[in-house]
Amino acid sequence: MRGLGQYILHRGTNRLMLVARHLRKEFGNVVAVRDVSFSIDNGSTFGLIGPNGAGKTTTMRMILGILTPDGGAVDWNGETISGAMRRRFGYLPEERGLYGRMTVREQIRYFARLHGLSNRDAAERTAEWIGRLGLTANAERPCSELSKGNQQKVQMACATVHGPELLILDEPFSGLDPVNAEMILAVLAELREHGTTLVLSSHQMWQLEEVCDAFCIVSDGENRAAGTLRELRERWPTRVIRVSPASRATRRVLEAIAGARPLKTLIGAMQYEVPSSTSFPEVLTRLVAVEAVTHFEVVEPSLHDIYLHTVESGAQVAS
Amino acid sequence: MLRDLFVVYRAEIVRRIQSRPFLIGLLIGGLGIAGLAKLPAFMSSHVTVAQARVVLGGAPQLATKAAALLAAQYDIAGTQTSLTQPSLGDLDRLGAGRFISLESDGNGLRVTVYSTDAASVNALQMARLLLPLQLELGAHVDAATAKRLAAFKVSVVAAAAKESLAQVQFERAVALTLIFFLYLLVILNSQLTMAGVIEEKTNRIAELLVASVEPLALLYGKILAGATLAFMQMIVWIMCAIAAGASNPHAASTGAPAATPFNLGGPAAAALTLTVFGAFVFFLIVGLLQFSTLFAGMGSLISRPEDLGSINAAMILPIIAALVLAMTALDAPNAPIVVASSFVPLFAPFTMFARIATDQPPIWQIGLSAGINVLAVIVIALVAGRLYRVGMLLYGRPPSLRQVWTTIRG
Repeated sequence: MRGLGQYILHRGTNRLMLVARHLRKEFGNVVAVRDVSFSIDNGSTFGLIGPNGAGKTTTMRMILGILTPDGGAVDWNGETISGAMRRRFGYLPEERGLYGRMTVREQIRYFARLHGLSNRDAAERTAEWIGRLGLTANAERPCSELSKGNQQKVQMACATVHGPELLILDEPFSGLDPVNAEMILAVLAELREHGTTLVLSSHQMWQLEEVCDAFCIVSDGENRAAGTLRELRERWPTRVIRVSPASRATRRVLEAIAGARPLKTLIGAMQYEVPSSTSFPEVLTRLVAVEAVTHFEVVEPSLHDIYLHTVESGAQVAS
Repeated sequence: MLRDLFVVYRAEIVRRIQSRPFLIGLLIGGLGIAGLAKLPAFMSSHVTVAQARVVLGGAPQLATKAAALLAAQYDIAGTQTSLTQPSLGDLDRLGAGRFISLESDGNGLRVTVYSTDAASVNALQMARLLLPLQLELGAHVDAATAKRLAAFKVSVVAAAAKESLAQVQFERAVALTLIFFLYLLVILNSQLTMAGVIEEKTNRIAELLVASVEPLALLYGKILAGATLAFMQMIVWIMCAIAAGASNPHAASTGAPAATPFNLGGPAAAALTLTVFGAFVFFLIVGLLQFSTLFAGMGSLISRPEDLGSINAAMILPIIAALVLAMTALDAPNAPIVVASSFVPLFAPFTMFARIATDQPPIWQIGLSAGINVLAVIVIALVAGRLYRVGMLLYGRPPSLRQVWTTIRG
């Protein structure tokens, strides 16, 4: 079994809030989560990514205490998660619904009450969120009469009305139109500003790359990689060099790099995959010496590249 | 947990009061009960008398004597000495519902009744009325002696309670009414609870809920809300039954049976004693908690509304079996099967109540039954709680019996 330290981010700080240690969950003969560990800093945004069936939702449910782990544990500020703590969490599941006959106001207020707010606070916060999400005109309408976009706003309000310390969002962008996706992003940014720790899972890597501070890639119920995007990139074994013009002289320089592999030409620029240990200033110096170089770029791997490579190869990227 | 339970309870009460099935159950149920209470009186005053009109056939002297004896209970339209085996057309032509053919030989009287509604013929009553004629013909005594001999009296007294027959009849009618209320309240509210659980699963709000609150608080909040509203329904229904019975203008004047089901007003109100009402309330609560919890637990295993039918049928069977046993208990409160079932959870709320309402079971039996069933409420709550906790997140194919058993064992 791997040590926890492999997946702990920002070691040595005292800001750790959520720590998942060697989580395991089985359903009959099916092992949904084999061994997942990570830690999340206070106020940070964490992306839990992986293919369908990787164990993300089960992991999230274990964090929330909806499921009890068969192995491992989840700590929140050094304490095992309890029922009372869960009230300070928020959750937006992938499959989400509403009570059709309840009005928007009743619905949001009900969830505020379930999360421990007093009647008065629940009413105030509900009114705030109704205003914040532009639902005032629909506040007294039954949720079944709302458009899908407005229903999604209500679901978001239900998950966040109590001002959670930790908000877990499972595929929050799935099925959203661009306008509502922007709305969710804006709400997340606001929550983050107020110090809410966010855990997100999504298949839309570009959105995660934009909002997350750190990631954990899960596949087949196990950690495959974890860290900030910078850390993940640092561990990435190759880089892509993009050079223009695509002349014979520049090609000779690039092919001379040990381990270099040509890729498809992109809009007149040559692309070579080279080891990440390559001295790029030195390469640039050599290129400039043989040709009037108009474009030189070292392309960092995107989260999408890292994710695909990690999942497809089944490799584990060591910290 | 208690605070969460209260929040769920309140929300559930509001949701259910706003729901159509509850309102229908409350209002239409109340009106229906008032209607049922008035039905016997209405029937007896409005039902056509054609069925009761009787034509007598046979020797003229015999028919005349029989007519004099039967006139107390039957509307005698006349005699037809020429007719022996009338057809339906003959009865129509005579404007009668029955034709009574009278013959005599050395052994006495032979009577054959031709009726458009054979099932309603009370042969025993007819034999009793014609007994003087039978004695006259068979025992060869004079008419006055035959009349005197036939005029014997049968008195019925409830030996245990030393009550009058009328009291016993009222008690039975009240017990029957309350058993039906028990059945309707348990079945309606258990199904409403199950429907609520299935609604939360199918509209996918369940996961959001169990992430916010302990699943058990959610489950028990629902069940307690259901029990509270069932109580409300019960009060409305009983008041309807009392009001309808009290304002029944036909009961005395039309000869309708004095003690009729769903009539808790007038003299029947005296049979609704504190003991009977207390037992009813206790076993209603126990029955509601047992069945609602079981229905909710099983409902959590369903993820598609189309699966509801199969599970519903299986769940209703014990309630129907309990109702049948309770009906048996009205006539035979100490029959071994009735006594045994009055201790068995799910059956006892019906059968023990029926026994208390119609008889005086030993105190130890009542106490033991109450103890077993309160314990059963706790056990069912634990089992259903486990099913619910797992079931609320279960989607797709319904679980196998083995999976259910594994879940219950934890």
